[in-house]
Amino acid sequence: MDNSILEHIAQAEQMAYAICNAEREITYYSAILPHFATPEALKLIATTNLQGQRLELLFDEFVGLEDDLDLVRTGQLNQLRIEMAARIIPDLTPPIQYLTLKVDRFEQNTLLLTVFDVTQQGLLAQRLMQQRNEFYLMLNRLNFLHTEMDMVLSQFLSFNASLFRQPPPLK
Amino acid sequence: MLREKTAMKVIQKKVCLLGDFAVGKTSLVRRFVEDRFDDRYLSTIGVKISRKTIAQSTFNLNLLLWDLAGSEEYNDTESGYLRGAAGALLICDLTREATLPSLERYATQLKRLTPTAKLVVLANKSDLTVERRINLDELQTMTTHLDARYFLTSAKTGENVEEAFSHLADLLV
Repeated sequence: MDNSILEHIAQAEQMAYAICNAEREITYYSAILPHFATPEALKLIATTNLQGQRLELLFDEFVGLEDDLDLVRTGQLNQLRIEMAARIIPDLTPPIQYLTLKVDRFEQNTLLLTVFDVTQQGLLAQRLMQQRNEFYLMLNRLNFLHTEMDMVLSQFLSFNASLFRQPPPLK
Repeated sequence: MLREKTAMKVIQKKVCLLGDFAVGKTSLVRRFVEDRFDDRYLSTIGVKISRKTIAQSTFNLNLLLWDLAGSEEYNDTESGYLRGAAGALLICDLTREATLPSLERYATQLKRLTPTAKLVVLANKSDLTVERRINLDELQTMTTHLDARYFLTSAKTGENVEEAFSHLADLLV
């Protein structure tokens, strides 16, 4: 496929891709890829050309996964996937970006990285998760108060019972 | 001197924060990395990675802290969440009893992928003394079973947060 068509599709779909060699160095990448790299990492490399940069130096998500990336490249691991990786981007409103990163084996001993912008799904999922968790926290709080109330009541009852057990006062 | 400083080697380690929802994982990272606390609860989805560099005598240790949400996703062995982690902070909430036994599940999931991963347990929200529902004996039993040291921490006051993270950093080098 013509590269310009591929670029157009990738940008329209808010996705980026890169091809990495056996040393995990980027040999080819789509124009939008720098928008998805770790911002702190981009500052450190001090160049706008990502060719020759190692994957794990551009994406914090792959630090520690070097051996697994090799397993994917050699076909011993099917795919490496990191869902909903959140980035704080102060220029955005809201200032958060959610990405899904996938690494697959590609032709001639290389890796194919695809990055998808899933911010809208992420924001919705966050809202749902927030409501669910707040509900469970409230239940937990109710249980706690219920137990506390039981303790107070049982103390009150045992105190009253002890009053009744008192012998009648002598006349 | 300046040359020595710039030439200092950097070692990067992936560390996961694992625990049930609302135990204070994000707050602990925020306290450790930015030294601040926010009382509002905002649940995390997916993963948020933060960096913190700890200077050692001959190198800099760059910790990549994976603040993870929801445990369901960890089960997928192709997921990169737990893979490659050098260590983990297992976090429970001292005011919620059920958050302690969960730590064993998180530890098992991590050890299945990375048997050499180092573990440290953080019993968080130690400032809420009246509401405490986990006693130290239970905590000791669990941490002995996990072969990990525990710290009573408070992201709110900062109690033992630095100590717990530093202890894990020491285990990693």
